[in-house]
Amino acid sequence: MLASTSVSKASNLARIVILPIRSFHDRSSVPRVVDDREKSSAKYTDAGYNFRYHQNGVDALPRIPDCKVPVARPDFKVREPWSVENARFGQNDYIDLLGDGSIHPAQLQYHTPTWLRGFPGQHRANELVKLIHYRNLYDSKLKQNSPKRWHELRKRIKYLMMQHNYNKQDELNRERDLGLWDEKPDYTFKDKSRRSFRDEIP
Amino acid sequence: MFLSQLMRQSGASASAARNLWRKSENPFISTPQAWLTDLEQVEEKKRGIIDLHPDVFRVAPRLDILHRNLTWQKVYRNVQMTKMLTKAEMPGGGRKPWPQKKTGRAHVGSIRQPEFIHGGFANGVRGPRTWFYMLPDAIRLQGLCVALTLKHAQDDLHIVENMQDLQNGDPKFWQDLCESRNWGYSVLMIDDSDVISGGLAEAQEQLAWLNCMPVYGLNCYSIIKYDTVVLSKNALEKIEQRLLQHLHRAKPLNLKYRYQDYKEKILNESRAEENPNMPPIV
Repeated sequence: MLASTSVSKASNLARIVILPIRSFHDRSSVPRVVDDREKSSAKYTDAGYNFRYHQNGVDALPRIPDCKVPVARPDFKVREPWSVENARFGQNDYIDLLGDGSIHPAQLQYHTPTWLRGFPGQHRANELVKLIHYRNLYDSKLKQNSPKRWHELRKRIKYLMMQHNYNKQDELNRERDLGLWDEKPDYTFKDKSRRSFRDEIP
Repeated sequence: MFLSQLMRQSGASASAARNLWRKSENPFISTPQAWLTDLEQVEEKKRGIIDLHPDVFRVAPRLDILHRNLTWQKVYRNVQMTKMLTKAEMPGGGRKPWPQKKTGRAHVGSIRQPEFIHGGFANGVRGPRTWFYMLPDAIRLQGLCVALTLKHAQDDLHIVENMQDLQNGDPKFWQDLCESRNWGYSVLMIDDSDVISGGLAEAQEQLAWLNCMPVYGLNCYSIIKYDTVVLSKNALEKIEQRLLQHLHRAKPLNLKYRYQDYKEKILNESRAEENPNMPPIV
């Protein structure tokens, strides 16, 4: 008797199947007005995710099977670590210490434009300082021979001056520490050009 | 005791006790030594032992300082020549394309605004951009000492008597020589003279992995890049002399690099490269 009741209970349990449906939480305590009962009862159960909690490794990238168009990738770059340039990379970087002291590596930067050789990089001297240096060197040539570029340069310097005066004041307070100009301008000198960024042109 | 026995076995003639300049009197600092060999034949023959200066070849292996040196060497020469034009520098765009109001379109003043396709760039890369900076001398000197120390400690630093006017310039000979002495894939030869002649000069033109540099060409990047560094005896003398001279110099080692000091020299040198009338294009 006891055994038969337990069997019937088990079969009832087997009939009531509780499916573990993952669904979005969309029920509120307030009853909602729906236009269609079917629509409201048909829930989205699959948002397109594959859950791979216990699956190790890396999934293969999505590819179209039998696709003839090759996957776009950058061209293979041939590296030559023992070509002449690469084998001698860094030679003369310590020439001021190991040589006789007459040459400095700043002089040997032949790949940079002449006016930027040995000039502090843009992480030290920002664009404004760089352009002021350019203006100091080439102002007369620009005025004489390419007035449009002179005009553009002036506009850019003026814009950057305003930018740094109003919005980026923290970036402009160290320009005298760069070794480009004297540490302090000559306030007492009568010629006002000595009091500003207009440094001497050799 | 042990070294002298070894030398007797190998038939080495002279133990080279060098006069090391300003060597510290500290008894706990031992003097590093290296075998002296030559490049005349394939097999390694030990000609003697050479004392190396502990201030150069036995310093604390500060990998952080070596890393700073390597990073500096890679970075400080970089130049970016890209210049993205701003709204003002693009051609055209002076006219207001459509009225301010009542068109239902955006309120724009120029077709070169950064919102437009083919418009100017608002925060673009500007002009020739450099990353130039100089490490302080102290860091660079210490970097060289650390690199040399590491090479010596890993048994990749060798001293030879002579590199000039060697007889054999056959690449096969040099390949066998390096093979038999277990000198690494790549070999860097350093001599004190900046002109090299004879067999080594011929061979280094043939073999990409074998290169010669003068003493002033020595640098951290090459010391680390090449598996084996071979110094000539004169080069060793000169390197030690230069490094120690700087380490003990009266001037401070943390002098700031100032563009002011080199400006005139650099600009005078490059005067020939410049157009007499036109300024360089930024």
